[in-house]
Amino acid sequence: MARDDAELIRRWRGGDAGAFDALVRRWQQPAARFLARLLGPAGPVADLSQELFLRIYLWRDRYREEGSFSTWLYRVALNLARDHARKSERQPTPLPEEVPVCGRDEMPRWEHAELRDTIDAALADLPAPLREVLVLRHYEEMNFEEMGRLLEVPASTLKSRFTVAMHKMHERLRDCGWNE
Amino acid sequence: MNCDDLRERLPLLIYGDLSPEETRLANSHLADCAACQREREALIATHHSLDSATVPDVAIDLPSIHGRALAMQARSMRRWKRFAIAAGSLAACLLAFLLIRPDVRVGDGQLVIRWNSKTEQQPQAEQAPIVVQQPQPRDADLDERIRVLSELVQVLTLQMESNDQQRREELEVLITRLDLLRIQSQQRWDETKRDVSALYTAQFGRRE
Repeated sequence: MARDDAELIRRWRGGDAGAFDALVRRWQQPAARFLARLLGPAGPVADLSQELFLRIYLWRDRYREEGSFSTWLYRVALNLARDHARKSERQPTPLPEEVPVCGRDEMPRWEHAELRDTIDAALADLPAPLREVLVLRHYEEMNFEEMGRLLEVPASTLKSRFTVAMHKMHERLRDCGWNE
Repeated sequence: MNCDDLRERLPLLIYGDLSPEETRLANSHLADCAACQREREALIATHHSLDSATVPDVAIDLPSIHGRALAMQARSMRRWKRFAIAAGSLAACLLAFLLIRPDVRVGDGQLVIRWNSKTEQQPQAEQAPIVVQQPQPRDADLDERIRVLSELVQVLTLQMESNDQQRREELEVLITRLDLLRIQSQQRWDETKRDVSALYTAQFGRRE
């Protein structure tokens, strides 16, 4: 896949607009999923996904062929998500009402949709450094060495963060009555 | 490996991120520890639960991206064009300033700018500018004046030369006279010496 990406980028830089469209069709879902995990259920996933690929289009000359396209894509997406988070901190927005707030009280078991909402909320409540590592390891199946290059953090540190993130998710689900 | 060590490594064990040696030690501890086995099962359930997270369905609007990119590039071109015009105008002004070399003075509440005027404080050592002029059409009056001046210069030259000749002749005469005087003085001295010698001999006889 990396070879295909490199070929598409070469054609795109050579003036083939169709090659860029092919890249977008291949990566729009993984990129949107990645942004959704980082931004949480209330995040503007569609808007930021659009912005992400606009930046990719404008910054084509910044891509270095020795690195993988996916790493570059995730880096740009990560920066977008972090910028959005910084702006959101200055302007806090309330969570939508349909997202359940699950605390430590005894709660009845929820349906699968509620589990989904619980997971979404739990991910959103994780501190950003822990959330990023968890999302990249579990959803994007990135190994810690590659993750270290992307986040510019040592792999050993990322492994520690991942361990903490998993335990926090486990505790959150247990508190909501899941996976006891 | 004890329970605390294993607990720190369980997520990595589940995801296959431990080294072979660490995996062996972890599995060895799990074989004998029911509490850690329960912890492992709970984390595996959490691992599966994560797959329940929302999967967004997003379709990127490609024409919008192309349109926005074109608009941004057009804006960038307009900015560069404005910058180029401003830079060119500034360069033209600087060039005109250097060519005109105005004399700018501030004083008495006034700002005076002059150009094409000679400054009073040119240093003496400054070399005269090289001026190349095209030959102008000949003027008859000017030619007459030049001819008269040439004749005057020639006359003065001749006069100077004749004066020089006269002075040289006078000098030769004076030198000749001086020579005569010198010779005459020598002759008188010689005579005087002879006379004195004769008187001495007459008075006192020959010298022994």
